[in-house]
Amino acid sequence: MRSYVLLLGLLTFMLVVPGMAAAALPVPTEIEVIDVPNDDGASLGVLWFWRGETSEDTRVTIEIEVARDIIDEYALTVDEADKLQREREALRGKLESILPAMYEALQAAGEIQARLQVAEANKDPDTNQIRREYWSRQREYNRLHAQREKLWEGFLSRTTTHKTGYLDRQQTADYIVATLNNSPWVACSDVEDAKVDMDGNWPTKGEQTGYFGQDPPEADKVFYKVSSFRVLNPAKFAGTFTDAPDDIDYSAPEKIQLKLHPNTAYNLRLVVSEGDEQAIYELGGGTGRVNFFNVSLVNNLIFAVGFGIIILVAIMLARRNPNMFIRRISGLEAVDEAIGRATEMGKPVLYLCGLDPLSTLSTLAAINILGRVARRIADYDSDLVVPQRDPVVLTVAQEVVREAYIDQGRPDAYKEDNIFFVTDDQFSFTATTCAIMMRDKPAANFFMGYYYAESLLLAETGAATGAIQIAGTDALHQLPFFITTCDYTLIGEELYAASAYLSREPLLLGSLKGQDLGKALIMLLIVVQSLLFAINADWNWLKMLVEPL
Amino acid sequence: MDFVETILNLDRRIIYTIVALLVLIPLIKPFSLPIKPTPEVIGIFREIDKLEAGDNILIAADFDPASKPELMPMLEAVLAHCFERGIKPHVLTLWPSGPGLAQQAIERQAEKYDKKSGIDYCFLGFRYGNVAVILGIVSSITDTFTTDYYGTPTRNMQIYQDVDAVRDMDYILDIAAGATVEGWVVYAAEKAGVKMGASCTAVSATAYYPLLQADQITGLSGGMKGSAEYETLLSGKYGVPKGDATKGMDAQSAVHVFIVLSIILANVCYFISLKREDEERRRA
Amino acid sequence: MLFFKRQWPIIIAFVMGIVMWARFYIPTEQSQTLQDEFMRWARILFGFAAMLGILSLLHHHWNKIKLKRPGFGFSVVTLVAFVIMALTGLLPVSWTWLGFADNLRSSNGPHMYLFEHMFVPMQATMFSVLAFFIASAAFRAFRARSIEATALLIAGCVIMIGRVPVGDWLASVTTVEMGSWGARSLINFPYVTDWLLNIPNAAAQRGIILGVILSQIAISVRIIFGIERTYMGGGD
Repeated sequence: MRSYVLLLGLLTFMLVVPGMAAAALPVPTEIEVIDVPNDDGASLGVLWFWRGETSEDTRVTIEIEVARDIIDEYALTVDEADKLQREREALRGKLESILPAMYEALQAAGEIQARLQVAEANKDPDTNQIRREYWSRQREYNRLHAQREKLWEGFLSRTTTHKTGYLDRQQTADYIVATLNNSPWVACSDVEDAKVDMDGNWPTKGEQTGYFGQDPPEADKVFYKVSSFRVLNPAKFAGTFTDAPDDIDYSAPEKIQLKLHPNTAYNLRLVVSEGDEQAIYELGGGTGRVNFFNVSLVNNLIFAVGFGIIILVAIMLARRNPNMFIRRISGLEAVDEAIGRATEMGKPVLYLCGLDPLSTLSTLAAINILGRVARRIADYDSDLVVPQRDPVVLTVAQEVVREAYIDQGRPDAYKEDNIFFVTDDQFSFTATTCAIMMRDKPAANFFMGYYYAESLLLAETGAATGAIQIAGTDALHQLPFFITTCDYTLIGEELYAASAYLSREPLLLGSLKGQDLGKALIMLLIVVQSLLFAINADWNWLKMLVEPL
Repeated sequence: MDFVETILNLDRRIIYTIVALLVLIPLIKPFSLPIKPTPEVIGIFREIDKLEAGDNILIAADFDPASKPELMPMLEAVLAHCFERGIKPHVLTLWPSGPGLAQQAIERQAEKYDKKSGIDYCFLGFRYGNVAVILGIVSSITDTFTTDYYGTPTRNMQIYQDVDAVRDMDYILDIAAGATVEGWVVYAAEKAGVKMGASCTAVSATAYYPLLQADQITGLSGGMKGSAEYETLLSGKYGVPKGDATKGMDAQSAVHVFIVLSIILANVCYFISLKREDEERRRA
Repeated sequence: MLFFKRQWPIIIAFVMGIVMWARFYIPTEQSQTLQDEFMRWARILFGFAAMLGILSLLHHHWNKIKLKRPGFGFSVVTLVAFVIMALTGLLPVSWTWLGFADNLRSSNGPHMYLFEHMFVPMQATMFSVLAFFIASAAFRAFRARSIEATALLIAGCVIMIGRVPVGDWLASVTTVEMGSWGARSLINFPYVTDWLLNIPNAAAQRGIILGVILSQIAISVRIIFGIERTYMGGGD
């Protein structure tokens, strides 16, 4: 249906345009209103071609028919209106009782001031007496004036609630119509000053790759996105109270910005003007719709699904061929050595899961490693101490360690009290953990997971006690501290690989292979793109793949 | 035990004492070394300086008392810069222990420049939810922060009559002690198409260079040095008195020089001891 | 019973993993509501877990005191501090007889007083200890044992000088006129610092970030498909 209307409009233009070509105004042709892909579903787009030259003076306004919306936006519920009205009446009563006294005080102060001036001129002996009287009146006035100001503020605050202006339904409608010269059309804020950009070019469809892709057909079409419009701010216009301030500048009223509602039809029109000349083009209605799929995330989806498949395939291959080569990670080779040493010395092993909650993947990785480490410790029969910062991580860690001890047939050796909650405060946790290191002198310290500024405090204290220290983190800026103070450090992805490495389970190792394949793919992309850049090739599809759409 | 062995087995407490003295002395008696602003900090200053009176800037003060010496001067300097140029700052924090410090800074600067809350600036305070808060203000500030820090409804404020979402801002600055910068870049700056700068602790500065190179942030201020550079730029252009970061730079210089010298000394001794061991082995 | 212990959690993890992943691509209001709802569940869970945390803390320290393990005196301090902070924050009684404000929330109330005058300074102290630890760690661990260690050592020293005004000062005093090359600084730490941070540092960081992100995708896939189960306390 809409396309027929558009076709009809187009034909009309073609017939009318030759007659108008003599006029200075540029004419938009093939205008269309489109739904713009977006998250909030409250945007429309307007597209058109120009016929004739546009100049710096050409102004384009896209207007929107909105009276109904604004009324809804500003409408009070009956209860709200009643409540505000009651509170206003109470304040009005108080204000009205203060005003006469205030004016009286002002008048009295004025009279005495006149007397004071005469007395001062005559050097009257009563001058000081009169001055005291004047100041006492003036103070009275100041006090009442301050009270009035406070009440007036309260009054104003009850006329503009968080949701509404203080005009009621009928008043709003009257107001809108009146302020807009009997027309329900208002300008959209984002195109109100729709002029050419710095270089004199109109923004075109071809520049909006986010909506239309890199090379859209009809790339020269002018494009505007409409997502909000402006109306005069009703809150600025008092009108229900006689003592309204006089200093409102009605000539340049403040405007407020209102957003388009999703799934609501809006009528649009396009106004082209140059100086006094003006032409109006009705565009009909358009409805902004929420997308069921976020188009701008297409490339993200491609990558996510692609890597997911690569990893799953690698795992399946690993099931067939379980003997895979995995490079030696010295930090993980040292785990047995560290635990063995703790057993020999009869000292405990300290294990930290990082400072982040369970929702951080590195904490999850740390928990996985804890499960493996706990199995070895159960075998070797030494103590495992795990202070915790997050209560959720605490419960999971207790469960993981208990299961590990049961799996190794040593449920008797499990001590729940050794895995305990300290505090969720960063430095209090650090202080406690450092104190445990100083007092109990664990023979091996494991710092796995995500760390912040406390990394050096922990690792340096551990180094001072002479423990073997193995750290693993993806907190990039803490890596240098761990590298300088710990014996072994798992960098970034090694932390995530650790669980698979320690278990030697083919399925887990397979996912590592998949990761490597993914990495190779990314490296290939980087190299190809760099080469293309170097030879100045114009291959936009590659760029499209990696840039946010 | 000779000198070399003494140095190699030096008691930590001696180093601690020297560090304490080197921090204290320059604070009491500063020697005012000149500070040269780096392009990273100029990248923030220039963008804010480009804004016009009446423009809006969103400042996230995501730090707590622990990083006050590094980041508080930056907040104060940026606020002074805004007020000096008539730019309207909207300050909020994602850290529960952040509002106290931000409140101190903003009230001090607002009083100095005689600026009014709700008209010239707004202090929104803290809301729980990190990324959820960022996403919230991307669609509406007044819906996410229905009241400001002092409990005043934001919807009525003059400052929010024209402005209501991140896209209406002209610049975003995250002053962060933790890992909030990425969140602001991804969810606010990129999504709303607003330029952004980051100020962080010196330790985490290295992690943000990739963002700087990809033009996801226009500038990067690392630690107390970055804050001091901003103070220098501000005092150079507008004559605003320099603040606490500049005062701290002498102490930082002294300690850095000490650490470098001690590393060199330790290494020289290390090599001498290696050589001795070699000789002993040969003799044996 | 074994079903609820082994298979059931994996089914939940699979369904929730897929739902939340799909939700990321769906911008509708319902999808947002779903996310908000699960966030609320998470907060409720956290509330209960916090209770467990407190019980664990009390149990641990109480045991330590009861068995008079080494350092049990510190546990007494912990428990006393815990009780005092909890009582001053929770008990609806007047503390005016101690000179505090009546309102618990006020900054003159006992709870905020303890927070501001004990907790905040102690926290600041812990953070400032870092400066001393960095000095001693650098002195002890920065040794030119290998080529890599030497590179780390040199880069560290250059950046330490280049990031403070001394570096700028050194660069300015060693500036000489070099004919057609113009004025050049002979010892320019800030320049080298800038290069180190912008080129090798940024390159290494990117490499690590890419690796980490891929690993996170892999671990997510492993968890969603029930291949990685250690975190549930289950076996391999």
